[in-house]
Amino acid sequence: MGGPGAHKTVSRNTGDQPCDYALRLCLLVKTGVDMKEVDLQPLLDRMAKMTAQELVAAGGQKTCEPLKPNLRLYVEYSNETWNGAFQQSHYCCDEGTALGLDENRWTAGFRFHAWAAVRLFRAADLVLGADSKRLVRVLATQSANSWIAGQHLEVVKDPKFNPWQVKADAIATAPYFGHDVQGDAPDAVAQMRQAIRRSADDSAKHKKLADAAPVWP
Amino acid sequence: MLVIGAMIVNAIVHAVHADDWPRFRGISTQGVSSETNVPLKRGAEETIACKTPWDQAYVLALDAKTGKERWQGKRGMSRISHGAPCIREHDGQTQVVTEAGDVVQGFDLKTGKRLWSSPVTGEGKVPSAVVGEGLVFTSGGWGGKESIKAFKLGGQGDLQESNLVWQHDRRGAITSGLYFWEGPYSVSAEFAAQAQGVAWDVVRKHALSGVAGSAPNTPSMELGGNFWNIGWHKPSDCFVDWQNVQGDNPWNPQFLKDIAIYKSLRFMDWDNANNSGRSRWAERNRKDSPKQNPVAYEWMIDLCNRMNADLWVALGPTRR
Repeated sequence: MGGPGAHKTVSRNTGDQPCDYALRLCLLVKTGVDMKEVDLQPLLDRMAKMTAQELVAAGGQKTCEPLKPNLRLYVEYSNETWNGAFQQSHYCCDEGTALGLDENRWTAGFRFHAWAAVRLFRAADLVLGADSKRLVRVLATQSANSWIAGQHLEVVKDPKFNPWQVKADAIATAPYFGHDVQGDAPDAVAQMRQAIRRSADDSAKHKKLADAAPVWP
Repeated sequence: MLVIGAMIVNAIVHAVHADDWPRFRGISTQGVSSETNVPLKRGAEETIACKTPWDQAYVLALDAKTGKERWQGKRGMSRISHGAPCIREHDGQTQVVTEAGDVVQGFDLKTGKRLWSSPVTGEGKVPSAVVGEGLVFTSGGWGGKESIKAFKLGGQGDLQESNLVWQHDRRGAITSGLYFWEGPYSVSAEFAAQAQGVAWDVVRKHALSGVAGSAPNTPSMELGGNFWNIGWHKPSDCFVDWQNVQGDNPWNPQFLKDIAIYKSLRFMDWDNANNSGRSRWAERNRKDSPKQNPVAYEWMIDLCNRMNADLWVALGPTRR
């Protein structure tokens, strides 16, 4: 693969392939085997059932104990890609624009987040199984702007962007509150209560979106 | 479960001829009255003066379910306490660390026996002590005698200042300290200063706006009961030394204890999820690398297995 973004964990060049980085991470988590630079393409169809021994035979190296079978693995694409203070935000805008996900640069970035998350989830499904109870596929978004989550869900339920119809398990936000409360104001406590209420309202909007979206197992 | 409170000794002043006392520490602001022959005795029918230390103050422990008294821990000679106690285990013994005027002390949680006592500056002591790294951090004083002191835990009896590790003299409002994972903080109206635990060496200051004063009812914060960053600020925060990670169990035992309450661990900074230049699997950090920043996935798995916590990874694009 070549071109801009070719070496990112998920780029426009990933196309309809699972995220390679996530495949290797999920294999490590599940079996304790590091597949290093072994070509995983020939293994994709049987990856979910391969034992640690078989992976080592295929060129991997046992580097740790697997995650205990009673513990879950949460997979999330990047962090706060909606936040322009981070480079990953602009990366998503670039990639989403290049893929033609929207004419608006920011909207294209939001939609690319979901596009990339789908490829991350696909990788996790291939390793752990799409119906695994250990796997939690997280769509992360901005607490104060539920419109972004709406864009994510549109992408996830569109077969053009999600040909495998992979599912998500959760919408995650970080509902911070209180940063705009003036601590020395006489009504600081009232301000704080209002901030908490606003934050709760934001979470309720996401709950409503999630309830209406057919993207869950 | 115990409810422990520092009893505020309600000193009753029946000073018939007392000066006007319109403000804290009196009209002179020095806490000195020009009156003479003020009552200094105490007793059932007698009066006392609030500035006089006495030996009857105690820390009271109540059963949280029944409200019945479990024990009284006698302070000895001391003055008033407004602060909240801090409960910590040290060398296998759980102590109730609490300040009052003139003293900072440790009491046995089970029996109320006073384990140790050291002098601090303060009359009606408002700031609460905080504990971390085997040290007790106290704040107090007035009129140019304000100071922050760190005492080493572990001694027994009247220690005077034999257990004093460092003292930082400072002017201005004295507030309860805060102890986060990074170390002790001292908050004033102007800044929050984070210090190294083992010596007064300010490692950072956070500029603040607003009004600060003593917060008498601010309890010492239990780690895990507040937001904190799983990232580190000192080499020994999470690993014994993240710049030289080795062996099967390189974790700081205190770190493991502090995160034991969590059911899921989300790794963001540990994997440089923000702004890092890594993009291919081959570029990831390896478990056998002595320097673990970012942290190898094997160590994240190891930590989750030890803590019986779910593993949450945030993977994504990095370099533009």
